[in-house]
Amino acid sequence: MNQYLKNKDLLAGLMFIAIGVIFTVGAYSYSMGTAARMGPGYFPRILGVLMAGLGVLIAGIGLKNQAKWAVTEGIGWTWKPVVLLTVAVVLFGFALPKLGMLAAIIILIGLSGFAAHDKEYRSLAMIMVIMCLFCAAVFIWGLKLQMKLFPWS
Amino acid sequence: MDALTTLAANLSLGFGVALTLQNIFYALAGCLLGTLIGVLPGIGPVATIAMLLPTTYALPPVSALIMLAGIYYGAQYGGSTTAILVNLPGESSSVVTALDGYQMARQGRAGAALGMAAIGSFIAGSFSTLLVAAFAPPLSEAALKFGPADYFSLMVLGLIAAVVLAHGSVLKAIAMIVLGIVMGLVGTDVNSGVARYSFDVPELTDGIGFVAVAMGIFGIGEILINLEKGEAREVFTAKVGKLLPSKQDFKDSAGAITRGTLLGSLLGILPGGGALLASFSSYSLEKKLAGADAKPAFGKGNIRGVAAPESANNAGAQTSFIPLLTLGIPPNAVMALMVGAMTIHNIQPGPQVITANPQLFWGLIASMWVGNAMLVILNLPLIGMWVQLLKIPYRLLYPMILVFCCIGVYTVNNTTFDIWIIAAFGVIGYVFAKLECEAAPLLLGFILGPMMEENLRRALLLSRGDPSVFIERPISATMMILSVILLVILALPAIRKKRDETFVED
Repeated sequence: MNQYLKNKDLLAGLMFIAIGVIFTVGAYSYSMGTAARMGPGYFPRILGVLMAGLGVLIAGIGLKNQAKWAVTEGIGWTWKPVVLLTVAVVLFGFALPKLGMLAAIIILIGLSGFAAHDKEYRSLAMIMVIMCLFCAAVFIWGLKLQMKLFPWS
Repeated sequence: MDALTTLAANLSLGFGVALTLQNIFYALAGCLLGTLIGVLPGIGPVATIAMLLPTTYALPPVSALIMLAGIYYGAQYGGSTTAILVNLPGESSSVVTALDGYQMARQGRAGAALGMAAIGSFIAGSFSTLLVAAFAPPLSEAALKFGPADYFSLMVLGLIAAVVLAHGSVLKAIAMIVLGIVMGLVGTDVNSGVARYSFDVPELTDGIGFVAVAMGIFGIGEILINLEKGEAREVFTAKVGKLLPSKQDFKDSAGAITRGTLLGSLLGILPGGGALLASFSSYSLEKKLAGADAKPAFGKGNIRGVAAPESANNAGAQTSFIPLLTLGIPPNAVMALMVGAMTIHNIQPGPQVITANPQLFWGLIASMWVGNAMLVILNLPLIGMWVQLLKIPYRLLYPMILVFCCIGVYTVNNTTFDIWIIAAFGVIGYVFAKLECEAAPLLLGFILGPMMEENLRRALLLSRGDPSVFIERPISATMMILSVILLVILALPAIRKKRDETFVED
């Protein structure tokens, strides 16, 4: 593995540089104005440059300490739960208005449940049923929120 | 004498509002819900409030704020309960409580620790509520003299002070604040009508919802981090022990509670302060005062190590309402959420609230005391139930949290776009945590960003573009000088080392 990928400061610095540059470049499409009559691009441009500058400093400190970072264990990204939960939440967003709340909850719990270390399908199914009943009772019948319960309602 | 009578009149107005049956109910419901969610391991006050915010939308503004304050106290106390029983502080301000509280629990004295935490919190809460009531009116009056330049400088000071309290790298914390500010600028610019950084997405022209950001980072992002750590907790449920602390416990804790209350109240007022700084400082003060021959030693189950930080964090939680109510500037992430909640109810927090809406102002202050009383009444008998909650394994807990986050954020605007926002910010929050970039300063910047731009614009408009206005006005100059001093202090190696030590659990 590349030793530089263990360096949290370097990566964070690069991230801030990238975001700072994006916002600065974006700010150029809005009028700058003058200090007395600030346009919509004025404040974002200052901040974008400031952020990129901070990013350079952070990355620089990271590079200076590279020797220390190289002997660490590394960041240890675990992408499986990240992907599972993100997909589950996005699908929930699609399902809620089209398929109704119950289907959306089943999708969300069903998918995200696979992210745990210790899976136990019986209790997960139980939670699914409990949450469906609870949310229907609280949000639809209790608080009367505008959401459909079933695909056909 | 005159001041006392006005104070009494104001407080009675407030209690008139807070003690209606309806508002007592909401205060109770808030405390109950807040504790319920806050006691769940891995959920801090910010996530709790964000998650429960939708439950308050339908209420009248006063009741909504009273309920939110209740949720906050409940979440805070719930966090202490987890700290004592499971050694898993739900939030950074109860980290020090876990040190001695958990040891007491292992010695079979969990009940005494929990009871003392509740009693200390109540005493501290009562005192600091009085403090808020006494100091808020003169401060709001002073705040009316603030011009745009003064506001801008004050916000700069507040944000820099928040950096002092962030864990880890100062530079990263500043960068996170700046990132928060620019994210707050996304959406239609109020002055020019230009949609900034909306990338032609119609939903983005309204800006990014702060509830979605908070829930994404502090709700989903936290889950991702917790899932990675795996499950390792041990609950001392068999022997919570007697809830009422013994006479000796009271004698030992009295001084600690007093000192914790005073220190906490003071530190809570500072911009960037609040519960976290309060609990850390009062714990180290107590430890120093007790000396090396304290019995039992600190970190080995000394009740003073529970009483002091718990009193301090409650006092700090209370007095951190002062900058919010008088200046409209949130001193920490929790108060930033309160600003968002107030805006939803069309209340612009600031010095005008006290005169324009005295019912709301004094009602909220009175309900702080009511909320604190609720905590004692509610928590002591219900401890058994909270303990049961702690037994739910995380693998069943996090799907439930996810469902509440998703439905909760959807109800804010009834748009699925917000659900995608929390999905995105969940990932972003995970990346931040992995790169050791703390997210609390980001949320603060996010709320303050638009206010800062507006005040900067006005200040420079008034001075015809001359930036020296920030150092010519005495109030603004003071803030700027304080900010510079803070930055210099932070940069000094000796202080930095001390600060790093404070945040390391020993």
